[in-house]
Amino acid sequence: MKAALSLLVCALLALLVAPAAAAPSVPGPLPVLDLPPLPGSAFATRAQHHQHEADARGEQPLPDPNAALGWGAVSASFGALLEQGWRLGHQEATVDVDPTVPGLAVELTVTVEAIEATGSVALRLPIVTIEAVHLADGATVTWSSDTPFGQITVVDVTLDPPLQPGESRKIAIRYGATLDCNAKTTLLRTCTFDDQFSQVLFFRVFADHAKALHAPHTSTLHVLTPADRAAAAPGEPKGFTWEPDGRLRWTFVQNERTENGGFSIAAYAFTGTDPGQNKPGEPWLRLVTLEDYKGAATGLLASAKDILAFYGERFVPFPWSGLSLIQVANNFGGGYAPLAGIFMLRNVFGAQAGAQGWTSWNELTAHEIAHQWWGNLARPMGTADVSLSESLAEFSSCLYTEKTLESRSQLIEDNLSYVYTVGENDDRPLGSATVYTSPAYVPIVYHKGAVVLDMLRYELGEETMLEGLAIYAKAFDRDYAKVADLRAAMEKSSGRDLGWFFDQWWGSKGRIDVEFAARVVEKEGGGYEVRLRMAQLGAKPLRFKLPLRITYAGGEVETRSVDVLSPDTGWVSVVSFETTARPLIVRPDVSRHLLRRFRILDGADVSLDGMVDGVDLIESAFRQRRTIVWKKSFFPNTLWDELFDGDGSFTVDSADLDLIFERAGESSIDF
Amino acid sequence: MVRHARPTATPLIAVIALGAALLLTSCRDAAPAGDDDATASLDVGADAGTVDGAGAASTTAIVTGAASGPRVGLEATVFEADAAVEVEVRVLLLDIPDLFGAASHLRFDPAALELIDTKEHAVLAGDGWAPRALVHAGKDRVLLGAARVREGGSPYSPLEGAKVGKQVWATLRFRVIGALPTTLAFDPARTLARSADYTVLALDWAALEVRPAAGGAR
Repeated sequence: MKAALSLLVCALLALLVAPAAAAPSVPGPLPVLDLPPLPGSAFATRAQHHQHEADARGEQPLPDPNAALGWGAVSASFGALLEQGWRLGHQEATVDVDPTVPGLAVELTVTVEAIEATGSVALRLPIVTIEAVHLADGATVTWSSDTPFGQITVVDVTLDPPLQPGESRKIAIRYGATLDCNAKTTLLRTCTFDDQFSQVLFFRVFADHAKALHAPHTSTLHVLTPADRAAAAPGEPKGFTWEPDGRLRWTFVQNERTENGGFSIAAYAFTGTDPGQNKPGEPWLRLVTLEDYKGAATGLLASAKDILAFYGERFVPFPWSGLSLIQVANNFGGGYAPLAGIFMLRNVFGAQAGAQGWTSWNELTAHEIAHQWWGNLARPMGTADVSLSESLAEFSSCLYTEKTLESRSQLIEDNLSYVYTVGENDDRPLGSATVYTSPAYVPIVYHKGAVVLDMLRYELGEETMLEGLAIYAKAFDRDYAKVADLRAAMEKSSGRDLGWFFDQWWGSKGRIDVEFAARVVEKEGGGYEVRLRMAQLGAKPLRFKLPLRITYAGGEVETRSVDVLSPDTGWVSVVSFETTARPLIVRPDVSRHLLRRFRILDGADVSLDGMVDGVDLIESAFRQRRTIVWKKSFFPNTLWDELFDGDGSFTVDSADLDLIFERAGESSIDF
Repeated sequence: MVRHARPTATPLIAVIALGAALLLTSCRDAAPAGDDDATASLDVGADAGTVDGAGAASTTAIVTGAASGPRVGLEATVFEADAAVEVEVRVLLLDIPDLFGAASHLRFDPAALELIDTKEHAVLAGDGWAPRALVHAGKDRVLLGAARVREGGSPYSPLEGAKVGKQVWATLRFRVIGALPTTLAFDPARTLARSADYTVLALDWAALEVRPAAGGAR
């Protein structure tokens, strides 16, 4: 107790940063695993879901890599996008699905609004067969179509007379499309036509401005279905009307400008609230599932409502009138989150509160709902800014599960995924425009991105970080942003220059690799100085705030942090702090806030108290047989800490204990 | 571990009350009554010196510490022959219902005592649990450690602590080489015991004083 009291009055951290006197001799970077996730594990499911989203990224509001289309410099202002003299107004499409082909027949009306005098427009569609183009009033127009690069269809329409600034004109296009639902990968299903579902999620029914980086527009979507089926889509559902042939015409209105969409047809049942049924101040919230899944609807709706409230309190209020959560085929494998509508794979809708699948439901749904803010409200400008969508959504999901499920498991799994599976050759800076080209896109953008944002939270404090997110969301409400804009928002909330943080984590690749050694020195006149030597093993020394948990004899525990100011201090940093009692165990980053790999110099003083002794034996014994490789697969074990893996075998085992016995009594190197 | 030839042993019994209960050890009761812990594997009397009871004792060893409750105790036997005096110290784990690991530094004055022999014993063993004990001789201290290591089963099943009645953790043999009295004591700042749920256990850690016996020949 005396020691505890003395700790309370112990001297404030006396931070001492001492650069190395000479170039250090340190081993090279720690190796990574080149293993797939353990099949069937919760992490593997989530990773697969993320991979699906990654594969579907062509549908995200990101630029075509082909500069020949003129998608070059753009403004960060929604109203000043480089739209080449005109922009898209409202679009209205009627879609008739033929699941036997499978294919679509689409009647599309595009409203073109002139910013400058415009004599022709180029509209972009997926690969389709253009059957007719005319003005909506029936007047003929001169048009032609092409399929540049075999990837898209461009329809050039001559406007005669030319449109004058402020004028608009409606162009009607009739086209047909044959869909290949296995077009991209065997994992990704851009579309599915089976006994239960006819869904089209990554085929853009509406037209884009062919020469603009972004072409958001409002829209009305009509989907024709058999009488025993229903359609679901993002936006406000307007119900159905009967067609003369006995079919149903379902209507969905997007009053917000967006580029994302999709629809699904099934024998759907609807639960929750429709537009107009919601309480004032609350969004309407619909769960669209197969009849068999209605049993879980109450719990799922409550969960979704909780997530919406959670984000609304922390970021900015939910920006849309409502949200549909739409069940789609299981082979879709993940989630897709257009504005005001989320598609998720069938099985997560079977989750029951507190039972199997509940964590997956929370992680996935929280990720997709977060996209209503990150990706739909504040939108990434370009490929270098995809973290503003996926990293923020994954971080938000982690934040939600940390608070509500009281677990950092999601963050830790994401952390381990990047740290242990991304090799040097596959790595890319988080803010790189070529991050898409990496086979490690998912562990970089989703997993590392979430952890980087968590490190920012640790650096700034949660309140300041969330305030920064709110500033960002307000500043880029219905607008396109760059990573620099997020940085500016965080600097505004914190009053700090965060250039080093964003340069380090968005501008560079890699992780923190540190080899620790420790000394505890009894001071003349009482008290102790704890010295930690950190040799950085990565490509370059990084700066970070290191959390420490210090345990004293008797069980008193103290937490504190030290700032490691590399690269100013070079490859080897020594930080020191004072304590009144002698520390028994100094553990760095117990909760794994940092994107890091740690090792102990000589592998034995795992307690970092400056001497290899019985305390190291105890601490290692508690972690015996923990591993990060299981059945020859990567296993993101949340209990894993490589600090205890002295021999770097990816398992804490008797060999690591043997190191402790071999080096018992040894003190750290002098520093 | 090399064992030195034993001098002729002289039994000694001393009891001193110091506010707390005292634990008396000598050659006569060097063999404990047995171990009620199923995990124990040591015949704790096996290393005790031969007792012939001849001659007057010059040196005594007095243990202080709790007599009950979870504790780390010490037992000592003094061996005297001619001018040589040696003290055998046994470190005991006593009455700890849930012990996963324990560690400390047993400190001594190297000017007064020379550590001539150490021996670790298998403590905290159990079904599915292997014992690992560390006894390492340092210049002025003996580093002690004991923990149990899971041998099989799922690494994610709950950890289990050992139920300890009385187990000998280490046997240490010192030669008296300097002026007495001198004390062997666990370093309170380097002492740790944990239960299986990682809780730090508050054990009583004994101390031992080696001093000239009243009226002894030395």
